[in-house]
Amino acid sequence: MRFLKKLVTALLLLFIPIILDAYLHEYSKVYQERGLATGQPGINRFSGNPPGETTVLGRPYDGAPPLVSHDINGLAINGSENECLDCHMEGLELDEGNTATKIPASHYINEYTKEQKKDQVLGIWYNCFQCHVPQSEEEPPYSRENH
Amino acid sequence: MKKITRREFIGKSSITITALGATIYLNPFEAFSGDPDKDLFWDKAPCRFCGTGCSVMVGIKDGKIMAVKGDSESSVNQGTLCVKGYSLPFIQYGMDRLTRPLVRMKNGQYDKKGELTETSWDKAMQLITDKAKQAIKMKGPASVAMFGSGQWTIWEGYAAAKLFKGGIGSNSLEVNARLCMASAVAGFMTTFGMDEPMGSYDDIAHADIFILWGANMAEMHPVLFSKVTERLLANRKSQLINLTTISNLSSRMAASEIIFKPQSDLALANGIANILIKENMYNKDFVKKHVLFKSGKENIGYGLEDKFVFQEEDKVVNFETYMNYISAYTPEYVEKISGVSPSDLLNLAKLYGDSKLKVMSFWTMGMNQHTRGTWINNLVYNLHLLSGKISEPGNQPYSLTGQPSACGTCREVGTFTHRLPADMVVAHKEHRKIAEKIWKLPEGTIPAKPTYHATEMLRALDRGDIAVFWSMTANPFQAFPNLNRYRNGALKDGRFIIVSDVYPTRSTEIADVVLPSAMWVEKEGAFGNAERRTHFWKKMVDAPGESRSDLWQIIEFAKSMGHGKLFDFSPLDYPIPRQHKASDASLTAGIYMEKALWEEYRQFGLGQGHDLAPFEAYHETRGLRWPVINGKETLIRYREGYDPYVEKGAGIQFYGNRELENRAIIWLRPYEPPPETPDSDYPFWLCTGRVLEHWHSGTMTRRVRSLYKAYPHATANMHPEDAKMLELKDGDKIKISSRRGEVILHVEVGGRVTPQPGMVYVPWFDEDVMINNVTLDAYCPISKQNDFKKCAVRVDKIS
Repeated sequence: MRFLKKLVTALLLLFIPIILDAYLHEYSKVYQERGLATGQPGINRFSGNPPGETTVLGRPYDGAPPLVSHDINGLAINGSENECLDCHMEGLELDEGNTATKIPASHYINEYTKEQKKDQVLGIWYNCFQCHVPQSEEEPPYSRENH
Repeated sequence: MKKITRREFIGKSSITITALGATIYLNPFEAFSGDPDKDLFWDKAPCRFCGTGCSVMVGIKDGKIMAVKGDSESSVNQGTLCVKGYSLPFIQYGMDRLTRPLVRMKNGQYDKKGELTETSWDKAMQLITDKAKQAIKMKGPASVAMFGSGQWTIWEGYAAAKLFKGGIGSNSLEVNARLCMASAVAGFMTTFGMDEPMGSYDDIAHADIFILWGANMAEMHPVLFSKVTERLLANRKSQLINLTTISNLSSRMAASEIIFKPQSDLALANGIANILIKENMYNKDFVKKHVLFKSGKENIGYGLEDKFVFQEEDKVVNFETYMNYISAYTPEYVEKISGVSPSDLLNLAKLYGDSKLKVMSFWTMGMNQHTRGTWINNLVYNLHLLSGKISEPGNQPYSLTGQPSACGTCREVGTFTHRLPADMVVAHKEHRKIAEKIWKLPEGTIPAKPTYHATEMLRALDRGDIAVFWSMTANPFQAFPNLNRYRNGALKDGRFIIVSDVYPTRSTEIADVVLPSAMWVEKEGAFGNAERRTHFWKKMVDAPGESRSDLWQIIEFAKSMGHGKLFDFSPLDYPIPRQHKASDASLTAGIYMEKALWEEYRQFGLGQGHDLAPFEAYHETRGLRWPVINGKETLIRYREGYDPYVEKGAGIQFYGNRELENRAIIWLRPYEPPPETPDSDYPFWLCTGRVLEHWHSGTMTRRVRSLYKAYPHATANMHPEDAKMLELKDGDKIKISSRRGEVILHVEVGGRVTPQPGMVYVPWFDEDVMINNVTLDAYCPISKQNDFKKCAVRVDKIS
């Protein structure tokens, strides 16, 4: 019996701080706002490496559009030409082992209208920059913190 | 054992994966990798971002959103998306997601100068209720205000309207959509007597000519722009004309880019109309049968002073009066105001005037965020009415909208101070009676007088006329123009600010209470897009921690204030859904709350041209465009054969103006200068806006790593000549200042947009670049929408 009493007391002593802590944690913790603000404006700096001289970045998740690893400044996309297609249409091999990511079959089909073209990227997939974006070297502020 | 931190883990994984040469780009969140078709459960939802209203398929695994893809069963986006849409799987999972109610406290008590401290929903709700009751007692019901959003679901907006107008007895309900499309609404109401576009996105596939009026569609409505692109590439006759103040990405696909001076679109539209008449290029038969001419008040002011009042004085005039009125807008006069050459003007007139060409005009913020926003909307409708190019496939004036449910929630439900559902207004006794009947309230419950439109609401808060201000799904303390005044106002003693949001923002930092919200597919929802399409989604995943939907929050507040009866429905009529996850609002109430609210709400529109379908229809389809009659949606309004509301044999009826013989109005509206123009002290125009990668104030998109990295910071785009004159080079640090405030940022020369000489362009998504400290809080006196596109600033280099 005395043993049981001791055990209960010990258990209580052990758990009270935990329960108390849990309670305090529950309803009185000061919120440490992280947020995005750094207090400083920034510059958008991209690698500036020309097409063919970068390593493929891949996709944010399987099924998402691949990100652009190279400089896109000055690449023409207009009614008469689309310079992205020059390399990506066929997945051109640029130099030793460096291959442009080939445009998938999905870009030749409009699954809603059922329109399909053999050798032409359809208009709804034509503005590459709508989905494929380059990446600066900068990380978002919160991922610099230690979580 | 040493614990590995998340950051170390990511670092290690990246190294491993790079070493293996795989092409996986690791996100700070657990990015999905696998076979999307086999490994995920898929369900449909509208995209969370812009007013296009793309349908996405959402891939779920283990209670988490892992992937999305464009929905190939939706006519809106036909399987495509933009980069923001593809980033939807990440927006919920930012590391600083709000998960508990927070109250500013000192020594365990609420204190405006205290620190945000975690508390329970009960305690937070009790504090809010005490403050609201105290405000009502001291200053009346109008001193309790709610500021919602075009990103609210339809039932959230509806519940807020019912609670405020039918319960609390306060018309102090506004939405951020006032800053976004109020001029579009005022344009529709004054011209057609009925809100929202007559056409749909289907028209794009039938049009020959696309004319953008100050809308950078390539960045702001990228999926619609891709549909325009498809038409341009497929149809040899097709042309895109980009009328703009800034050289932008939309010009890439354009036959011509026409740069005009800020505010001069008013003169341009009148100039085109003048040529149409002078050169006999207008559709006489259409004008005779379907149009009425009206003049209104001129020299109408800019709303810069508190408690500004505007009263329209309109009168019907004849065609000759109109013709004489616009004859002042000769090509030479228009060139003087706008900088657009007479030959460009003539070409535009020919496109509108050629009866063989089908023309769509598109616009958004350029025309809406304008101190003469209602007028310029009227003036572009004038062109389509003069040419008769309206309400038929491929011939449409098209007012695009900014937010996913600016139409569905704000405009259709009427979450504005002066409004009730289905285009009705509180000032109209019959309208109030209809609402009171549907809401089962005694006659005289709904207050007849509008209180504060959005800008006036913030001014009332600063003055102290509003004591309690609750923001939901919005970020007013980053988004409002002339922001210094309104942030300082909110921080004054006696102002109680509540912010419901999903992440810390510039608004939560000055809030007294911060409430954690559930977002997007963490709740059951409905949006209405810019083609009158209502689109539902189901709850797919649970919200983190103690976050709750805005609907739940509004109903709990109603109960706490003693207005719980407004949300009493029978569980026999509306049993909780069993086939999919029930929302927090439904589970708490023990009924299918969304369905109950929907079935009540749709009574407002039945037989009024706003017919909505029964609840289930929207879960079964990719949305339906109203009016939905006998289960059939309406693609084109006002034309016989398309719109069942048009009487047999009538051909065309603009039935919003029934009392005006179903005629649309051509308005006599002049060019008037903006309230502030560049001078020797402030020699530059400032224009603000968005970029493709970021949504509004960046709260969600800047937490997505790939979007952040694609466009980390807001910079000031300048013309190379201006940069040279100020001895600035790309990347230099500058200060932009106006009569109201200043902001420090870096200059960008040769970026993706180049403003005309004498103008600076700054997007507003970056909370480290509070550009709205600089902007001017002038507004269109008719629509009360602010102009974020024009104010005078100076640019100084900081060394």
